[in-house]
Amino acid sequence: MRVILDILWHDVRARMRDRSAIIVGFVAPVALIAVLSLIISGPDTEKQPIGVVAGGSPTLQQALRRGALDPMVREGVITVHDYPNAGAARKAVIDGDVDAAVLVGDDGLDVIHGDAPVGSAMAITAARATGDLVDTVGRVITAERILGASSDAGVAAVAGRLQRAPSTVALGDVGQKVAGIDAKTQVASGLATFFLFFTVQFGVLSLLYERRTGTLARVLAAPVAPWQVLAAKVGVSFVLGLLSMTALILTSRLVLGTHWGNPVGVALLVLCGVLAATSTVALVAGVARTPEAAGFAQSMVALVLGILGGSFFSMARAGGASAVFTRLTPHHWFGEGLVRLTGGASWTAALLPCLVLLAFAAVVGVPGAFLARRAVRP
Amino acid sequence: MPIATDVLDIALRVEGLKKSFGANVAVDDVWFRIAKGETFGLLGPNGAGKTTTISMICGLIAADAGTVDVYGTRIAAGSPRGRRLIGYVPQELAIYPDLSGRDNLRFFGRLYGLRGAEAERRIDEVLDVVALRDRAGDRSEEYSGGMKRRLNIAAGMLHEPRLLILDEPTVGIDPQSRNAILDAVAALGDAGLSVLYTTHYMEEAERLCDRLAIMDGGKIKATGTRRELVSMVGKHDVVNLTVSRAARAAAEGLRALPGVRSATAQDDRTVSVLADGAAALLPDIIGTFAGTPIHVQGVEVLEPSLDAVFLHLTGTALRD
Ligand SMILES: Nc1ncnc2c1ncn2[C@@H]1O[C@H](COP(=O)(O)OP(=O)(O)OP(=O)(O)O)[C@@H](O)[C@H]1O
Ligand SMILES: [Mg+2]
Repeated sequence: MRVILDILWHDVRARMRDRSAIIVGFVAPVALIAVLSLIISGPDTEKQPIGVVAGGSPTLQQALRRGALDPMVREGVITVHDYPNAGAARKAVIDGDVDAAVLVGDDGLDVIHGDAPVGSAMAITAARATGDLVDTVGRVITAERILGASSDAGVAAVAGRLQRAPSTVALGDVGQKVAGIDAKTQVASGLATFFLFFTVQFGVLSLLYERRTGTLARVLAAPVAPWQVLAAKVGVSFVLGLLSMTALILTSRLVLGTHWGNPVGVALLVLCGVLAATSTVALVAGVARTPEAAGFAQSMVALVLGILGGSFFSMARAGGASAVFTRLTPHHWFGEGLVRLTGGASWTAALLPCLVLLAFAAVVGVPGAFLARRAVRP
Repeated sequence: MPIATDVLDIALRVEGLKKSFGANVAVDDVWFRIAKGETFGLLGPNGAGKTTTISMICGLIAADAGTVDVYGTRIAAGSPRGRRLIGYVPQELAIYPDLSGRDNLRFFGRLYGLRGAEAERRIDEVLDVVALRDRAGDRSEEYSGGMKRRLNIAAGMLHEPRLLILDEPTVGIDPQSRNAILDAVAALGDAGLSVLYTTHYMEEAERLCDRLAIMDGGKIKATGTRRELVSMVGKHDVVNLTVSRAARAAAEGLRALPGVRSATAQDDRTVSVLADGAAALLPDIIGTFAGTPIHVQGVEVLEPSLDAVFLHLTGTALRD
């Protein structure tokens, strides 16, 4: 056991010294996270434009404006644009002039929101939040009207209630409650998991490098069983992955103000996610013949899983086969775990995603370990 | 030569080792023993099977057949049993270039359970043996080739093994480093350590080894002390001829001469001839080239030596 820790410590120190793991596991993702969060929080997306179509029930118009939109405008969360008819509003949504439009009918509200492309996750979040909020307003008003409280006084009362409710206007809160994690955190977690699959290769793949340089043979000539060497190298992958994820989460939280939810839940997710990533590199080391081939294969694994898993943009939204494939990736389940942990959920909310990640680690890692055991030879 | 009476007086017992890589038989039924305190040389050209034999002795690769016992402990591939008894200095350098010499030794020491003050004491000792103490703090990639080799050796003897195995430890280094290494190995041998030393340098084998085995094509051709081996060649002498050209053709012609055991072209202009009684045959040897475009430019008659033995046993010179 001690010798496993000796080898593990020796390797972790070596990777720190040659800075390879630091660059791939920390510097590169931090830089990208910083750049991407700067882009998504640029000035024109700070206020989400909402379109409103004039007409329909005056009571509803009034309730919508005074009760829902005005407070958000005052808070600087949204801007409101007026459109003469539904056609014009729909065009504005499609053109991207506004993120959502609210149509006021005679007996209710209709919300159109566009499916904005990659990068404006924040806008979608705000639009959806507004839409849902407006829907709620609509339902309250409709209900009150049906109950006969559709007088001006009734409308004023509803509007007053909404104004006093503090939770409806803060974008952070709205985002957390309605559409899962905020955009910055989404970017940070997506990139952190993406780079994780590159970071873990610095552990197990060193088996192949050390076989080439001859140090593996020398280590195996010592009183060390091959499985102990394998365990140490897998341990190195795991430790490097863990260090990288922890550093990225803490840095993005302190510097960029990302929100990650319950720390215990996040820690569990990270442990299981790193285990899943480590399992892929064990399999790659077991199959590849040269370190170069293994490095290339692991990059492909990282790229394909990252794209499918929604590290860059959500494949679940695309529907069809990709919605199925994305559920086969650790990246998806890590993100899913974070979504479930939002809104003050307890750590148990992350249990199902953690179990899926563990299942992935077992399915890939067990055959991976058997195959990688063969790589432990002079 | 110490005579082994007890199992524990035998440092290494190799019996019937075999190893093939596909159709290539690298080691073919190899037997030998090394007595406690003995320095034993395994002498053979490139591809003879020396490294493969050593890999099996160290339990790095599994033998197709045969057994290895070190001080009575059976060595098996994949099992750490008995490894502590062996110090292994691989032919390829096995050191971490980004670590200092001292940190390399610390790491290898830990693999053998050496740590703390005990480790530091041993590290200082072996650094003195290989004369690297003053450079121990430098990264080993900044070492010269000879210094790297010496560090490689230090790593092998750090844990005070009872059998030290050195696989061509002097390949490709300057004469000064080479002498330092040979002196260190000789000192260890004198101090009673059992040593298995492979080389294709005849001088090294003659200088260091109590007994030798000559290996070629995966087989042990002969085993014995230098004197025993040389007496096998008997009255045969080695004559080295320097010719003006076409050494291969010259060798061809010489083989037909009665009394010539073998004739081999060593390079374009050197032919080694193994002959019964060189003095008598010399006129005939030179006469062979009369009327040919080949001129003999130099003749050298060698004392019976391991070179002659090697030529006699394998038909080729050791260094090809
Ligand atoms: N891993 C391997 N796979 C295939 N063939 C091998 C392997 N290792 C050695 N061989 C073959 O086995 C034979 C013996 O090789 P070995 O390395 O034992 O020779 P050697 O005596 O140590 O030579 P040298 O003096 O060049 O080090 C050679 O023909 C070599 O090609
Ligand atoms: Mg060799």
